[in-house]
Amino acid sequence: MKVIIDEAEVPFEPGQTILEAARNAEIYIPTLCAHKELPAFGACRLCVVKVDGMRGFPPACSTPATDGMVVHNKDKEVRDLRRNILRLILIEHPHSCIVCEERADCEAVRGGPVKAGRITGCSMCPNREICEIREVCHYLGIPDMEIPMEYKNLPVERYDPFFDRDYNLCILCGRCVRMCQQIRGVGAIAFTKRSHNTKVGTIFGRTHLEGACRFCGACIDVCPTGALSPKGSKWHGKADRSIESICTFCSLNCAMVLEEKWGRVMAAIPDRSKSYSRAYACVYGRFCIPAFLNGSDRLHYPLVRKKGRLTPVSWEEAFRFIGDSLKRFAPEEIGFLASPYMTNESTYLMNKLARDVVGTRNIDILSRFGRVVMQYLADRERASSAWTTLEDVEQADWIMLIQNDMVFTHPGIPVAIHKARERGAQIIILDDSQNEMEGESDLNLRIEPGSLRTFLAALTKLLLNNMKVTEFEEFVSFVDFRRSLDSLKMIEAIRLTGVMEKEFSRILEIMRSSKRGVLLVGSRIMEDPVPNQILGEINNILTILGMDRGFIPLLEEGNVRGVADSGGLFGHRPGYKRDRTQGKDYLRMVTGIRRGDIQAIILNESSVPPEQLRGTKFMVLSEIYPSELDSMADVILPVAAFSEEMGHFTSFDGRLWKLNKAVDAPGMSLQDWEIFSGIAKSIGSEEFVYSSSDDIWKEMFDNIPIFQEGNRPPVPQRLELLPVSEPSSLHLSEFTPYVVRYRGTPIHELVDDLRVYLEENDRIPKEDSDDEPKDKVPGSGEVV
Amino acid sequence: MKPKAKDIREIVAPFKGDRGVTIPVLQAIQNVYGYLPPETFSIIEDELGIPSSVSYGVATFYSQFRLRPVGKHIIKACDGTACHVRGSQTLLSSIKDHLDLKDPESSNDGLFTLEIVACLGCCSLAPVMMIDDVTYGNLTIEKMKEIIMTYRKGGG
Repeated sequence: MKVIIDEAEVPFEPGQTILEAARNAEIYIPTLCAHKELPAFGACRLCVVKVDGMRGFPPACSTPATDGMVVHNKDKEVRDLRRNILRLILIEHPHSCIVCEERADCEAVRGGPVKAGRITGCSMCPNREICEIREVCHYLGIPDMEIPMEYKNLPVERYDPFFDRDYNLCILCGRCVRMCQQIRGVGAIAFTKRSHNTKVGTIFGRTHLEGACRFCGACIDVCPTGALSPKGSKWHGKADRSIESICTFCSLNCAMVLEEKWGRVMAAIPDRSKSYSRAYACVYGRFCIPAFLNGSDRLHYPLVRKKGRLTPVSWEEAFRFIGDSLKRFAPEEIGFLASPYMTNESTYLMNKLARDVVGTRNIDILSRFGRVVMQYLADRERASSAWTTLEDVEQADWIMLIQNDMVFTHPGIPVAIHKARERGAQIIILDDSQNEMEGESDLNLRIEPGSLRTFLAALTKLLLNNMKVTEFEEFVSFVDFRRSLDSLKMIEAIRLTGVMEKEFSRILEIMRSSKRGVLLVGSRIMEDPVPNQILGEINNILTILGMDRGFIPLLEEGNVRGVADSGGLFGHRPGYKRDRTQGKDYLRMVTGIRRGDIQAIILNESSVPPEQLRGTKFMVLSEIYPSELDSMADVILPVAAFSEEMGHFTSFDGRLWKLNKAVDAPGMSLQDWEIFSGIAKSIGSEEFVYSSSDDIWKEMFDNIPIFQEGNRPPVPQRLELLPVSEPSSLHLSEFTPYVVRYRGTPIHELVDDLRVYLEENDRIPKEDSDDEPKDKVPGSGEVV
Repeated sequence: MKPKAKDIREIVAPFKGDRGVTIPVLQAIQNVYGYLPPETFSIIEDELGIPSSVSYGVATFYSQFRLRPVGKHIIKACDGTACHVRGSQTLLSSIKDHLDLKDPESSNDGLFTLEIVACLGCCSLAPVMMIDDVTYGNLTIEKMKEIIMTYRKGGG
């Protein structure tokens, strides 16, 4: 089908609007309210066109194209009309930067925006050279303004974290409102009042902090004016360089454009050319990257403890010291703890250093949830498979959220859930405490604390009620499973969970309705003293429902999956080849330290609580910020952060992402793989001949199939049923909810605005007053 | 009637599970209280999943919704064309002064709520105001004060 725009034949798909057809053919139609990520709105009227056979001037953004339609886009009448509409819009938008006669000279002389807090007369707004109004003015010809400007004189809203709002610049295009309500599913803002008093705002004009805002910043990214501007980066002007990389604060690994200026990352903006990051980027990636990475405390020099004092030394001396010291210990006395934020390449070298050069099998990931999940899956040959993705979540028919705080740990995922729900998916929440996603749920099951495994056992029995169990007879531990189910006392189990029977039947109905279901499992299952029991019982349910896919563990740290893939996981070499000889996993290393079996620890982040490492004779710590482990370390090595290194990350669903170096690391900092190479050489290995991370990647790529794009095996069929547990009300392990961090340092410790946001939402304790010393504890309260 | 969160919850409950109920539910609440108590919006959010800013946006868009308690008597003062040229602006400001109305449109004693309307359909009597169902025409400031006095005394 074709539509004719200014004599050009333009093909289109049924259901597309004139504007969409034109955009596909790269024909420009000026718009301010239409945006390719948002549903059509028809507010600004700038896209009006003339269509043969149609009355008046229909807007291209909301008029469906029909076959053979003749559209006039460049007609004089259309142009005059658009110019008048633009005039009307400009009456309420400070426009001296557009219509001024001196404009050309002014822009030539003035390099960037002027630091005026408020834009009234002759000053440029904080919308750094990406003003869409200017683009439209440029296309239509800058109109002379006969009508004087009507300045709304609204107070500039500066009292919220992360971004300022000057609604005097707002043209009410509604992009932010549509983004917030319809795409992000938050609804923090809406149009309030009517006619001339209309303003984008919150309920009773409250702050965004008090309201529902999650500070994802998507509103800023679609705003065509300078009304919304990020506090942290509004005055830097244009970046010197833009580097495509990723955010590594969580396991989603959203693609970001890092903006470099003056040798530093000044801003990180979701890469809107990639649908993945465009959809899911959140407060951490959008706002926290520069402040977190540019902290003044970043380590600059290798430090070696000499006579009890940490002393700056050269890398050669540091490596020599490490090499000499390590030679004092037997291989099985040395332990390696892998940061879940290092690249796949660095992990590969840490694995090589530990297993091949030092010759120990004591290596594990520093991630309390990720380690347990990856070990569970690796033991069942499921770790290397392609997992359920966020696109699968968007397409799911039902979604169950189990014990997670995704609004704060993975703020991108609620966006996918909202999309699924709009499509008609049923959302079930299974949680023992208040869940932020309750507003998006169809069934909210508040179970008694400690009754999760009992709930899952009861659900398993109910699911099997109308089914022939014979089909599972061949499965591992089927007999025990059957026996455990037969002896399960349902009345007691249901009573313990606190869930009503009719809720059980509802959940059964939903789960049986479709195999396109997803279970999103959060780290709060770790409250159970044996989290593997929970994972096993979830596996039972998926097995019974006949679902190969559908399990998403909400891995927290940026590269848990990649580190496990690349040899950081206990018992598994790169590509999940099993270790033949014995070693110690994380928990056994901790007890080993206490008993004196483990004497030396090499770790590259500071997330371990100090008491777990007390007693080590020799400790090498690579980190980016000082931590409370420093007092115990014998060597502290400054390491590059993710904006300062090259390499690959693997997101939670198994996708590979490339890190690109945006800036130089501070001082003498090196990348992890360079540090491991240095240590290897210092103990006499000559195998570490890599000159760049590309060299390492090539070796990994050639030898390990899962690193070749699209080469992950399908999820194997489930062949195991775990005996369900007796109804019991468990005494829960002490568990501190996860706060997003990078290399052991919680993000909010360096980003004050984030601290305010998390405090307001009770994710971290409020600081009482400024007088008290700050309790900077990077430890995570690891469960032992 | 003093609104209680529990009572509002009861009004909202029947709308659970339906889509597109924002306006009907706001109307239902206003029918009971004569206005939308501030807690309305958070209750609608909790019970129906409609974000409070969204329902607030709807409530402030339509003139039928009020966010403040309504007085015992509603004064509809006309500012239509005919009344406007016959001095309704002066009349309006003196009504406001007389009842001591500042931004809120209701008087402190809870007796009067002032509404400005565009036309009452009796332009020959301009300037006009209506108190509840009674129309008063050919108004002067003195006349207006007298009329309001009768309502204060419980008449009208």
